[in-house]
Amino acid sequence: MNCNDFEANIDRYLDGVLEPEPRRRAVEHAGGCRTCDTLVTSYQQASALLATAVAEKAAAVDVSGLWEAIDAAVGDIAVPTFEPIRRPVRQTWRGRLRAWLGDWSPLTLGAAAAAAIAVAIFFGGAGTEDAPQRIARTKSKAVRIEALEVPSGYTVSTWSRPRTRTHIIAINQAPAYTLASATTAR
Amino acid sequence: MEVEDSELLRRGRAGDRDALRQLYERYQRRLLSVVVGLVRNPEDAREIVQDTFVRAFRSLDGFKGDSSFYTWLYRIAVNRAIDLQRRGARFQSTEFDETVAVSDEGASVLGTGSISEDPYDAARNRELGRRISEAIESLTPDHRAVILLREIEGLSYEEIAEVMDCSLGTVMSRLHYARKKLQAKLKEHL
Repeated sequence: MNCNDFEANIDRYLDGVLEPEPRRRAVEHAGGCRTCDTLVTSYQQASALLATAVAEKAAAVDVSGLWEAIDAAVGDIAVPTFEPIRRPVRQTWRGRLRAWLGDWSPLTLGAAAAAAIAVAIFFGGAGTEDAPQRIARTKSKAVRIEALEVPSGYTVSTWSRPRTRTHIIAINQAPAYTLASATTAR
Repeated sequence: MEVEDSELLRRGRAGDRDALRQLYERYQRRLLSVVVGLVRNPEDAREIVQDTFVRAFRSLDGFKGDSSFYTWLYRIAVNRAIDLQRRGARFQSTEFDETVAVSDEGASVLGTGSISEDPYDAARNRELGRRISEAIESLTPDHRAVILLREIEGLSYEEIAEVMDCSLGTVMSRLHYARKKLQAKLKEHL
């Protein structure tokens, strides 16, 4: 190994990631070459000075109250969870509706039927400007959603575009899209 | 036994604030060490660290686990810091010895402040600090980021490539250039 080769590999040498045989040759060269040995020493000293300087600089930064500021800025990050319920989906219209609404306990079947009508009316209004934030979109053949567990305070809105076989389920905290609203929105 | 990042992330996604705080305490100092070397202004460094954690915690669902959490965190922080430098916003050239912490035993390696310090050593250290400052500032943001991630955080070349979103070859090239420049600037003082 000559000095050019040594300098070309100096970073790997300093970082200890040279393969065994090149490392052996590099060590051997540095041991016999004053210039390259001095070069290694100066690189190591420069690195040490840099590390010390940065550490001291970081230690001087006031981080008091930083977590509190982060905590406040993050805010409420509670996210609805989607838990698939392992039971077969029935093929009746009740079963399909239940697949969308699942075990959402406040709804009775009667309310579910009303919801189906509401959803049906709402089909035409898909993609309006006031639509809540969409967080899930599925192609009907790709995913079968059997149930949704919706935390208290959240509402569910669904859209479906039969032509493209796209179903959109949106869950949001705003009450604007309750089922009652859906029946009147066009 | 220390809780794994993956477990803390899982709990954090479920709303466990204590888990988020543990992640913050685990990585805050390390992140600050890199950022403060990138932006040099202590206020900017604090703001970037704060912004990084806020962004990360707000988008935990977007973290797929393809990389480690800390490389993802570094990536957010480095991108923010580099953006800030490129915009030139609030960048102030600050001498190291104006804000360096001083120990009770004597001066830090780069600063002054101890009454008992030899005046010659104090002057030499001020000059050394100025040289290091100049050397770092002479590097581009990308070169600065690579050498800090390697020298301060000890990230592997592959991890640095992931943080910087560049190839391994680019990392090697930037690291070599940055080290060479740093060494050349400090040569007469070493």
